[in-house]
Parts: sequence; C-alpha cells; structure tokens
Amino acid sequence: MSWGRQSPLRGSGLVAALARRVRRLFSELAAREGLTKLKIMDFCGTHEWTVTHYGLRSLVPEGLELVAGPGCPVCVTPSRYVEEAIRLALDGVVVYTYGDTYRLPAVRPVRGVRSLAEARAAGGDVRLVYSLLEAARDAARHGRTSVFLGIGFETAAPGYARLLLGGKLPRNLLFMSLVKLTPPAMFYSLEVLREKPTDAPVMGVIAPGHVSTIVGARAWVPVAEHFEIPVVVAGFEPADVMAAIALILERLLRGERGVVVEYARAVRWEGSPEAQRLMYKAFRVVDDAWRGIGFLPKSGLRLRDRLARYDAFAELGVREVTPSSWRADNPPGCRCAEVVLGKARPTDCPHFMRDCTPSRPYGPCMVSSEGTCAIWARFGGGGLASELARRLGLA
Amino acid sequence: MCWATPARVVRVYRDRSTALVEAVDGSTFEAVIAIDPSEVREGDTVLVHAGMVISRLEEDAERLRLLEEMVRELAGGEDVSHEL
Repeated sequence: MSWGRQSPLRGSGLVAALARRVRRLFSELAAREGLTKLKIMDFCGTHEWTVTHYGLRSLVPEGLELVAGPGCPVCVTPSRYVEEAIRLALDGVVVYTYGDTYRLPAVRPVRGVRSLAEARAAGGDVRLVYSLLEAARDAARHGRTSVFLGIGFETAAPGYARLLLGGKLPRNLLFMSLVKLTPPAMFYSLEVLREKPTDAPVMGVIAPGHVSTIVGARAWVPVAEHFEIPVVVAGFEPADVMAAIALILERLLRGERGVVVEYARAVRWEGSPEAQRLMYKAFRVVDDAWRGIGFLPKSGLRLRDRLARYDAFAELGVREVTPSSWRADNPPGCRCAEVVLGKARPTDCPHFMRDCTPSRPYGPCMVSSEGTCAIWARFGGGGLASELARRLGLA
Repeated sequence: MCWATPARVVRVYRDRSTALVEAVDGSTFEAVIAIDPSEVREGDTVLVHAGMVISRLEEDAERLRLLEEMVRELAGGEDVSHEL
C-alpha cells in the first residue's frame, strides 16, 4: 500500500506563475544592467534532471541560460579507479558497485576489459547494490575478499562513516573511498566560467539541495561572498527550481547576494552536525583528481588511519592517482570535462548521440542518470531538437 | 549524487544506526541513519539517498503554507493557492 502522493509542487499553474515572474524579473534586470544574457548554474545532476525532464529551459527567457555544473560523482570519478576496480574483479575480488558505475567506461582497458560490466562478462564477480549496507550483508554471507566502490558526495559520506565506525562491515569487505567534496568543485567551475572570453556572466547558483542537508546552507557562503552572487539552496520539484531562479533574479535586482534556502523542508542553515561529525571522524580531506579536469585542492575524502583495516587502497594495493601520474582521462574527442564545468553543452560534443548514447556510452557523462549528456539524451536538453533539425537540413 | 527519495520510517532498530523505511511505492528496506538518530522517529517522513537517511522532511502542511507565501510573493501577488 502506498502512502505517498503526487507532489503539489509539480502543479503546472504554479510553475507557470513562477515563470511569468521570472520573465518579468529578467526583463527588469536586463534593462537595468544593460545585459542581453546571463547564466545561472544548476550545480547538481538532479537539478539538471528536473530542468531538462520538465522542460524548464523552455519557460525561462532566451537570455537566461541554465548551465549544468559538476554535480555528478560518476562523471568525475577518475578512469584510473575504474581500471583498478576492473583489475580487482579480474583477479577474483568480489566488487560491489552502484548501477551507474557498473557501466562507466575506462579510458585504458585492463586485459582488454573496459568497464565493470565487461569484467563481469569476462568472469569477474561484480555485484550491483543499492547501498553499502546491502554489500555488507552480502559479503558477510560469502566471506570472500570484497571491495565496495565508495563513490559519492557529502550526501553519501556520513552513511558510509556510520557503518565503518560502527564496525558494521565484515572483515572481508574493504572500502575504496572515492568520495568527493562539492564546494571546491563549485569554486573551480565558477572560476573557469569567469575566464575570458565569456559570452555571459554566471550571476547565480542553484546549490545542491541534498548535499546541503549534510553540509548546511552555510557551506555556500564563501561562494556567494567570493563571486558576489546569490546562491539558492533548492529542492528538486519543478516549482522549487523555478522559485530558486526567481529568488536569484530578485536578489540581483535588490543588489543582495548571500545564500537563501528555498528547500527549507529538508535543509537547515547548519546542516546536520551529527553527519558532519561522522564524516570527519571517518575521513580525512585530500587533494583529489576529478575525471577530465585534474586535481582540485581539498576536494576528496580518504579513510583515516583508525579505519585502515577497511582501506582498499592499502589492503588491496589500489594505486592512487597522483598529480604527477594524472593524465587527461576522457576518450578522444569526448567533451565531458567541459560539459561538467558548464563550458560546453552536450550538443557541442561530436560524439553526442552519434557514437555516444545512453545504451552505448562513450564518455562518462552519458552513463549516470545524473550525467548531463545522459539527461539531455533522454529528455532532449535545450538545443537538441534544433541541432537535430539543423543536421537534417530542416532548420 | 543528489538523488534522494522520500520514505516513511516504519521502525528504528535498537542500536539506532539503521531504520526500516517504506518507499512511496510501498516497498520496505533497511536504511542507515546518517543524521542524529534522535531526530528520526517512527512515522516520520525522511529523505533516503543510496540507502541512507540524510534528512527528516518537515511536516507538509507548515511547509506548504510557507511555500505558498513565498511563491505568492514571488509570483507578484497572483493567487496560486489552488495549485498547492
């Protein structure tokens, strides 16, 4: 029996009213600032999903560009770690992974194998799980040496920490921490988008709602202050996102910056102190590599020494990527790194929907349901229809 | 990795590190409590991400009243209450 119901925040009349407000605010702002175009970044892959799935780009003025940001952990997990996981699977280690990572293509094949899905086809024991808890239960049953690929952002880290610190993992299950921190990536992508020449300034950010349940809205204050732009922590219904856009424009018109919480039903200013405590008790902050991008300072988490017995890097000889060993790790011609940073749109990539599709991904942004290319491929992101029409000589 | 779904807490287990939750489709599963366990009670609506409870959702009625207020203001005084 279901207890849920259709969210009232999907009401089309509500979204339409907000869209009218957005258009009015944009015209006012554009006239006052002498702008024809401005950008707002939706950092999180799930926000990009809402924007594209519900066609919100068609509701905002033409000069207001919604730019997708790096909020897809699968897209930014370095190829090396996928290769290491493939190697472990081929060497007889049971590999537990989320479904999207399973299909993630590596740039350098390991014994001819390019993904964990292929590793399973080649005889490796690769098991898809929904959570670390599920992996722990399963690994306890068979007792064989196993590894869990701990991908994620701050949303995932405290739950991982709770199990690790609570001794809930069987001794045969090791943890490969690939957790990434979002504020450094937001800083980096906004810096990149500011580089000249730029076609339009990024004048606001829709901050990740669920990451903010953990880190709190206050985590975005440095972004708002450094870039002097409004940041709105938003929920994931269409009305949440449209309200966030309206709030950003309104604050720009008033000359106000700072951080606003639109997603008040889930996010507190200080986040969850308990989750933050768990996260930093289990993990230490490291400079980490982002796929296609390179090293970002203090942007990743690895297990602390107190949890060394679970650490797959030490226990299974998983090789870390280092600044000197890091190489650009997207396949030739793939523009995923630029898409992740909001510098390119999926339709700018020569592979998009040609030899890179959701069923046969060539680059990492086409794999996860949070990857911008996969979202645009499924729901027709802005420009896809016109691009196809141009290709077919219809426009 | 902001994907999360609402779920209802059916039972908080004794050591308070996990809870049995019911998803919107009626399926139940055990989820790790990533936040302060004292904030999670049976009957609460929570957000679950990758099998982990990351937040408790505030009661709908109050939230919707606040949202309606904000949206009405944002929408320039238009009455959108019938949409909420």
